Amino acid sequence: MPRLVFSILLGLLAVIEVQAQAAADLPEQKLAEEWIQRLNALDDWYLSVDGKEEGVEPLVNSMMDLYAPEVLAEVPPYDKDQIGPVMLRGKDNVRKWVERIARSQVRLNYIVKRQTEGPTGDYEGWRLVYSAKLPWGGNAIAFQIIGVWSLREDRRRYMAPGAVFIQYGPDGKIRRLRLLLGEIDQIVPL
Amino acid sequence: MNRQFVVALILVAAVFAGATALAQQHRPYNLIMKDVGETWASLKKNLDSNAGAAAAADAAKLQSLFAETEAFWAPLNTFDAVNFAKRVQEGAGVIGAAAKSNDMKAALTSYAATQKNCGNCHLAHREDTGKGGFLIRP
Repeated sequence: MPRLVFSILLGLLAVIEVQAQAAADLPEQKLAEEWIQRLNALDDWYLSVDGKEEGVEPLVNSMMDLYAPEVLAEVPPYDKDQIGPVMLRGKDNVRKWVERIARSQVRLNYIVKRQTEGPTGDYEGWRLVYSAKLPWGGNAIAFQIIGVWSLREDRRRYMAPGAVFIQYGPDGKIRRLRLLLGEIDQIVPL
Repeated sequence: MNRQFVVALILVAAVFAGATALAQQHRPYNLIMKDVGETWASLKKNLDSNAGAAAAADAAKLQSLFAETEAFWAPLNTFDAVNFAKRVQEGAGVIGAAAKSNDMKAALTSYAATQKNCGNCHLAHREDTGKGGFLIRP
């Protein structure tokens, strides 16, 4: 009898694992992970012993490879005088925004929020990515994030809950990006 | 006459530009830090052996080395590192003054307090490659 119970439990665990794996392997999931990984990699560069910034360009290029030339991006304000979101038209303007992140922020740690069923399951479980087929062709994905970053100049650290909406063209390049970050709070050690 | 004046002006400008460029240059950071490590160890040794004059000389050298460190970081938009370097210069000044007056207890207290800046800066800006070297993080 204990053997039977043990076998059933083992079987159940295997099924759960397979389902979790299947969710993680979805193409939409991979698109979201790819965007987050390239964003987080933007601070992964160094200073030479002569004080030169080394390795920024390849990281910016890697992020920009995802975008179509005519991309339209709505990003959070990065100027203290700017109140609403900033609309960036075209790859060149998006590149400036990406470069600005790479050169002014460090310890980037954007994560896709996890969730399980139930009222309190917000910190573990699956990284949910919502997806849709676009009527004009291409796909769209959306996912919740938590953004964490530090300012390079003074190491002040910030955290914000947010969401990302990305529309891909039939060629797989990003045509529209909307990054929302709300309630940006400074993290202060206790 | 005019031609001579122009040539002289160009020469003066060239000398000025060269001097400015030279002043902005600094030694490679790894060499500065190597000197810091050696001087820091020497300072501790001299403080422990009550060699006030030698300790004061080490402290003065550290002030100069951290002025170099500050100059390295200043144009890099990384003000926390600049501030760490400034605090070490201040701390080295206090250590030097205490060592000169043979107040080794005060010097050692300041030594321990000043050393915290090294740890904090390394935590933020030094990455171990795992191959016996370090990378400088912005």
